[in-house]
Amino acid sequence: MLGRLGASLNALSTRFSKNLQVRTNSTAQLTESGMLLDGRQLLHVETRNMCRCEKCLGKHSHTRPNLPFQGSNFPDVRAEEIGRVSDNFVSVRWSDGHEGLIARTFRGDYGPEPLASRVENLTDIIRRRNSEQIFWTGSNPEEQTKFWDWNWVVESSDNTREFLIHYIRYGIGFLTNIPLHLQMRDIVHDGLGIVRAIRKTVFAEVDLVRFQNNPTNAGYGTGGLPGHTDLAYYNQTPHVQFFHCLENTVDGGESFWVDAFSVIREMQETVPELVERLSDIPITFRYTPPGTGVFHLTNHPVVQFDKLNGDIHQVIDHPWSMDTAMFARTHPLETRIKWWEAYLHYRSLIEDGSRTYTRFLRGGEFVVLDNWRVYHGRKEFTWKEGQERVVATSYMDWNHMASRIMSTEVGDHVFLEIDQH
Amino acid sequence: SSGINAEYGGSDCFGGTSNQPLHTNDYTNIKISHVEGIKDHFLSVSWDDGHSGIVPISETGAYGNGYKRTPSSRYYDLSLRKNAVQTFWDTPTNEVIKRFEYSDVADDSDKLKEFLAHFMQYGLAFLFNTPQEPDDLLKILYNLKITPYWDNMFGILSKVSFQRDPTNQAFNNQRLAAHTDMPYYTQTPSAYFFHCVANELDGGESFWSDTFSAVKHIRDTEPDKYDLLTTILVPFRQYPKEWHMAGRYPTVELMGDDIYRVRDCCFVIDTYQFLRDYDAETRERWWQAYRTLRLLMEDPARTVQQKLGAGDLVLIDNWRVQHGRNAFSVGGAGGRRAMEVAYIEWSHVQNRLLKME
Repeated sequence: MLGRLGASLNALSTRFSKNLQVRTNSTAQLTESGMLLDGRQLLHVETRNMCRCEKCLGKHSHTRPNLPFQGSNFPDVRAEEIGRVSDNFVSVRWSDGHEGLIARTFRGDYGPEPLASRVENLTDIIRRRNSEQIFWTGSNPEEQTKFWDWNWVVESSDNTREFLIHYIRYGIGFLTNIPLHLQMRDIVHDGLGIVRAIRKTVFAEVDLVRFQNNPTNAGYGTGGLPGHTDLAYYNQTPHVQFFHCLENTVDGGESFWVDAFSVIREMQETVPELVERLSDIPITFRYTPPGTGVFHLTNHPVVQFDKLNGDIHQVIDHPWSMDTAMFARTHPLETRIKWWEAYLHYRSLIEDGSRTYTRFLRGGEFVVLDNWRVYHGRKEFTWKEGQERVVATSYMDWNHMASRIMSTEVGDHVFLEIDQH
Repeated sequence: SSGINAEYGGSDCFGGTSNQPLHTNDYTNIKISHVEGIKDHFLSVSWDDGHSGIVPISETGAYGNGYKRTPSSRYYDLSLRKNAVQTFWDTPTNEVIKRFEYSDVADDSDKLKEFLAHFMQYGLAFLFNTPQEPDDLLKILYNLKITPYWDNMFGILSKVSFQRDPTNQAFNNQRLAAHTDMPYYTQTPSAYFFHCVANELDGGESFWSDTFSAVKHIRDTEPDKYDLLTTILVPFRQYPKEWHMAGRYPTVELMGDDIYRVRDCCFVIDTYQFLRDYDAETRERWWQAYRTLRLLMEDPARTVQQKLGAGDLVLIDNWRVQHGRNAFSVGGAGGRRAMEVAYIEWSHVQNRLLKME
């Protein structure tokens, strides 16, 4: 390792020995505050933090083993000399004596294809930018409710990515023709290739939602469940949700889904003051089934926006976990009156049948859901001896989904090309 | 149900076994038509839809059918991370470094709650005399009934020991400055157990510092910098082989006026993306604010430092307390440094603190 490092450093020195004077050109030039690189102003500390040499960036980790901007180094470090400029890198010498190189391009900073182009083209999608999402309207029901054939989706990584990107755009994705013997882990880990994905909750790794006498959760009854998001009482409500219909022979019990983002967008245009209340006022959610030893509660506003760009980011809404009693204790009457006005208006739009997609799920059908955006619910059903309605549900962190889309394949070369600089 | 609703005439509205409403109808225009009177924790009421029922007038009544002992208000506020009941520390006091005996907390639920409350108050809590074999951490969590743990890109149990070609800088032997873990996750893990299996090499002392104390200091003395730390979104990125984890978040997040969460891991700041998100002037001001924070975090006077021994276990609030380690030697006569880490989300720690037995 030291031998390779030594060779790299020698090579870098060579890149400077022919360029003892500061280079000034339209590509890279030193400025008082740092460096102007391809028309973009970089600060001195930023250039030092961006060094991509093997001493500064772990070759296998792609993170910094050292800390160029510990408090003791900042803000004194300065870029003092620009060396060789290649397609993807610029050689730099700093005032702390270090010689290295910084990236000019995505390819230089992230690594070779295909990772670089995915980063450039898919970043906004995996960040759930509203501009990349398609809010449901009456005009595109076929696309949002499209069923994807399992065998096609798992045939190749590109196909899997296409399905997952569709899911991100619409907040929902349907799979069909899943072999009946496959369980949740088979589908998510082995099929979709999302490793270390499933997040355990108070409902374990996989929750089998089926009728129970004396249900410890409303989901285990036969009553209808209005549109809602799950686990609102969690401090960190899970993001991605999987529904795997294992069997469904009851009468009734149709599943339905609603795009809350389209509702919020409409309210932003027509009654923005009500949206503001839903995002400013946190309410308490609680889940404390007796005798189970479970005690979850937390506070959330119903609607949250991205602080940088104002995008609609998350909705949390689970009516029968709302701790109305606590709300009455923690907020003054005037605040509650305003909140209830906003919330009831919002719910009237959520429960407007024209926004809802309804389907009687069949055994072998699978739904991937954005639990921060799309509400799910079911109509009541009647249960008779011999009938079953069994839906397996699990949850997952968003980042594992995003990683599946963005990451390279097993065996792909992702190391930096600094040797070609 | 033999609970209180049976005494008052039925449980049409509230599930006796779920503690959840059975109906979520539209009650927009409903009005109270008659108030019967108060009995114990409830008010008997009739509404103009023809329904008669009971409304709780106390927390005991509000928490479901039957009389149920509610958790202490201190535990409740601690579990919601309210600053008013947290103790920010800028020097390592005896209370901050207080150690709890593992067998005490494992065998006694009240002592375990005391341990968890201490953790929530200080952001840090130490256990000693825990089992010392590899993988024992999962058994410890099971014994303490603090589950489920959180599977992540490092697995359920992350084993931190020296590697020749490290896929993460934690696996080398260099100094790691104070940081919080996995800031690039949309939902960055809230707490983790750091278990020492062996620590036989020279060096490698662990250290921790309280970011909330530093942030409060900046808020009180340099509010402009505080504003930058709470508003500018810092991009993070971690992309070892076959993973691509990325996200953008402010260094300091607030819940109302309370300091709620800190994300700070300088090894994975995506400076390349930062250039694209903000203009140079904004970034320069942010770097100045960030430097102020880092100088406080790296001040030895504000730091707890210990060389952990086999069987020591530290519970760390990853949204508040930063951790790091000194460099350690490798390649000598023998010995090893082996740590194991398991992450857990806040709701599961909260559940253990608040749950009724």
